Amino acid sequence: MKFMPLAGGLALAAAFVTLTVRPTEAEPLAAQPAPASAPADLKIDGGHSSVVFRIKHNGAAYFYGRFNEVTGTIVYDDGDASKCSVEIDINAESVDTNSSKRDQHVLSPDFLDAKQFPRLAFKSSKVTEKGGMLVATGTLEMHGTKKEVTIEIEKTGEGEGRGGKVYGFHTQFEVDRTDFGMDNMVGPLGKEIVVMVGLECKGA
Amino acid sequence: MDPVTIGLYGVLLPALAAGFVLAVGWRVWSAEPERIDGRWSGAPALALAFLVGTVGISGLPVVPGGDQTPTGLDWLAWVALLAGAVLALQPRLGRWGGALRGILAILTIELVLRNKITAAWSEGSEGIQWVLGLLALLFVDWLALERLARRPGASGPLVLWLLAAALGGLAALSGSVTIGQLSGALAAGLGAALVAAWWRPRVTLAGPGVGVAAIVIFGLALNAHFFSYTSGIDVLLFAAAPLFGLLADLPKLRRESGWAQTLLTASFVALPIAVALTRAVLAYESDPYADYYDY
Repeated sequence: MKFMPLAGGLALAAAFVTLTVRPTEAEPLAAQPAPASAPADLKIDGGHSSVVFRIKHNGAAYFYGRFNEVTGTIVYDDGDASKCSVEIDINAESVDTNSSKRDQHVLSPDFLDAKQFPRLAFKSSKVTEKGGMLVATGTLEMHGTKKEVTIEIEKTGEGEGRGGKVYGFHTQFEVDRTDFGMDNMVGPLGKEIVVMVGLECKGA
Repeated sequence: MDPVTIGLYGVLLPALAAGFVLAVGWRVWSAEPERIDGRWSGAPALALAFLVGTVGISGLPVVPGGDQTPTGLDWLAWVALLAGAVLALQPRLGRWGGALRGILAILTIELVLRNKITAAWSEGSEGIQWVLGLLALLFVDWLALERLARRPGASGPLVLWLLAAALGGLAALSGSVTIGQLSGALAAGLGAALVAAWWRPRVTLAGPGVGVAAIVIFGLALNAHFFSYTSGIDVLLFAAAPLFGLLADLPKLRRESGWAQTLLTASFVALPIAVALTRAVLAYESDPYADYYDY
């Protein structure tokens, strides 16, 4: 029966430890400024961001490709969307379609014409909030053509990275490539291109 | 673009357009041979062939100054239009014709490579060196082609047709189908000129016609190398081809028969072209994915 007081003592000790550790863990969160207090200047982490596109081939299947180099900045304010801004820059020459020869054709004057127009870019001019999403209106530049587009950006999460707090965003939008002067091979390749962008950002 | 559409816009319509203008030029000249120099029609004929092909294949060229930045191919279409119009006047300009050709040559290089010059060559002397070197190359080729076109017979149109048609194949093999198709449209116009030269030997491309052809072929080669993936060596082999044609003028090789001389010239011109095409074919076939992407 000596066993019972020992077990009870251990249980009490465990409960005490648990109760005393919890507030310690909570301290950093309590010490952080409220998210809405100031806009965060964020830099896109190209190593953990993805730009994927899809286009219909022969009217049948969706073919997916990607761009491997994306940079840019985001100003994010949790409480006031009008203080947000988005700038995304993609190196056209980083296109990757799983075939170097096909990459070369995509980069040629038949499509992206990357030696003349080496970047694809989006720069917001106005950001609003709708249903929990950021709605960014701005200029999309592709193939030497600038067009105003509106894209919806979802904040997918926040977390702690090695360099501090990181934010995640995702957007998906569709463009008609012929609006940007890319008229080649319409038919075998669809006009519509769906672009999916996943961004991880950290403090600038 | 399906083969029928390509055949229509890339071959048939450019050939008809060039043939029509050459026929009008010949009719006007034959009515008043003393007063009118019949050479004028070569320039608008080839310019029209190229523009018909451009509009059919790529749509209307982008107008400078708008939301869209013109590409090197857009600029080439505008330069061809300008060259077609002003080179038609060349026979009347006498010594000023040389200055006109100089201005057009500078415009061709400056405008076709404008996006390269403003982005990559905007600082330092690299751009100036490139432009001067290309200008010299264009002049040498233009003079060589002019000399070939002044011979009696079909040497001029045949050599130009060979250059344009083969450049189309080279460009398509080394990156850009569009540049290949546009070269094909010019080749179709030159084909019409070739037939016209056989039909009526007085129909010639010497002077204005050679000017437009030289500008457009050179402009397409610039686009293929600087904005696509045609190798510099292959472009230089093409640039050397008109000079090879002059070998047929050597005293020991000169032939009495016009036909023999034309074929000899074409054979010499075809030598460097064949080397460039072979290189491009070998490079194309070395792609391990070539069979998989019939897009």
